[in-house]
Amino acid sequence: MKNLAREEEWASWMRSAMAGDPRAYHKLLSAMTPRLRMMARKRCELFGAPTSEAEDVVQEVLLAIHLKRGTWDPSRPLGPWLSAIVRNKLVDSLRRRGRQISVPLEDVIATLESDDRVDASDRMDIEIILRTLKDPQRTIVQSISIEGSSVRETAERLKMTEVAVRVSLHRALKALAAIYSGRAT
Amino acid sequence: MKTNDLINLLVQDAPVRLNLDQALWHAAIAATLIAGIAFFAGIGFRPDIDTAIQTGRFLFKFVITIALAVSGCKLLFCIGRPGVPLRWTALTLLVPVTLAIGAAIFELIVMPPETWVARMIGHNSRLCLTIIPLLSLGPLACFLYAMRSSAPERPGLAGAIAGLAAAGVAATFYAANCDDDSPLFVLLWYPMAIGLVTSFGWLVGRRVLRW
Repeated sequence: MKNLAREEEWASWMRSAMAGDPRAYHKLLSAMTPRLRMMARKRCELFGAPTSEAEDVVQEVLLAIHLKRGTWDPSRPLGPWLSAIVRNKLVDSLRRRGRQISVPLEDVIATLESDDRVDASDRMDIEIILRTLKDPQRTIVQSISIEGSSVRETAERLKMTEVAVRVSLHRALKALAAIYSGRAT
Repeated sequence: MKTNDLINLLVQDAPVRLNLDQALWHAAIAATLIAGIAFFAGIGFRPDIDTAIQTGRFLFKFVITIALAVSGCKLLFCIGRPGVPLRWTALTLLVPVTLAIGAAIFELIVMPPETWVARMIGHNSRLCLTIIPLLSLGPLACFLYAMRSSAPERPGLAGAIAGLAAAGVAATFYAANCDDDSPLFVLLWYPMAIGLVTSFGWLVGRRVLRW
């Protein structure tokens, strides 16, 4: 975030995204993710949480950025807003994880040893996530995220209106954020 | 879930027209209406409002409470936006405090010492301590509801500020009913009532404003 040119570029993508440009939004989120991942891994080490959990943290941060993007005032710089969101979510999520892993040392060692065998970008089991969602939401999430369809294609296939699919998707994302942050099971 | 799949999901989510400022303005208007309706339905103006309105002491209560409502709202508009510095805005909270203390000092200077205690204790303190918190409930609910779309770094603090703004609105209405006009009364009892609401806002905010 020290790089002013990059921050300016991200801010302009964010402005376009908020105005409804999905491509700019995709560029922004894809550009952010590697940096978030780096930060999350470092924090995980610092807090003594297994680094394999970093990917969950990354996804939680992405969801927070997405759901709270309306609190960014486009006339202000993006950097301070983004840092505040990321810091808040990192601390929050690691504190929670820290509490969860304050269990027998052997368990922690076992988790650490199993690190290599876990696909780092696939921590939260999609099956578990899908099971917690109710139906139109579940099918929509599945269709868009796993099968890579667009909202329109999904709407056609489910015989729903696009608006209904969008509303459902938004609710599903809120539910996801709640699942990640442990507010729901 | 793969992070890239999640990004696909996020990108497909329609641009949300969430405007925090607008939500808070609506909340402020609704808060005033609700407190106003509760006030006129429940207690209404004091009987001697016609003469009271001509006295500086009565009118100055509104200067203090409105200053509190405005500075509380101002802070509330900032606290839900991550990365926005709060320090200077927070200083505006000193305005109602300074006004109240200044008025109290003035009262001490112009009034004979033997009347101080009677003026400070007043005869309405119990009403003050119950009606201000009761009138605050509706406004507090409005503010907290609007703040749920915000992202406060400290949810408890944001709830407390919502409580402060709600108490400011409630106290402004209550002041039109209360017939203790001495700044000494205002400085002793109003902050207690406002403090109750603020603490309540803090407690609720810690739970409902987490994100």
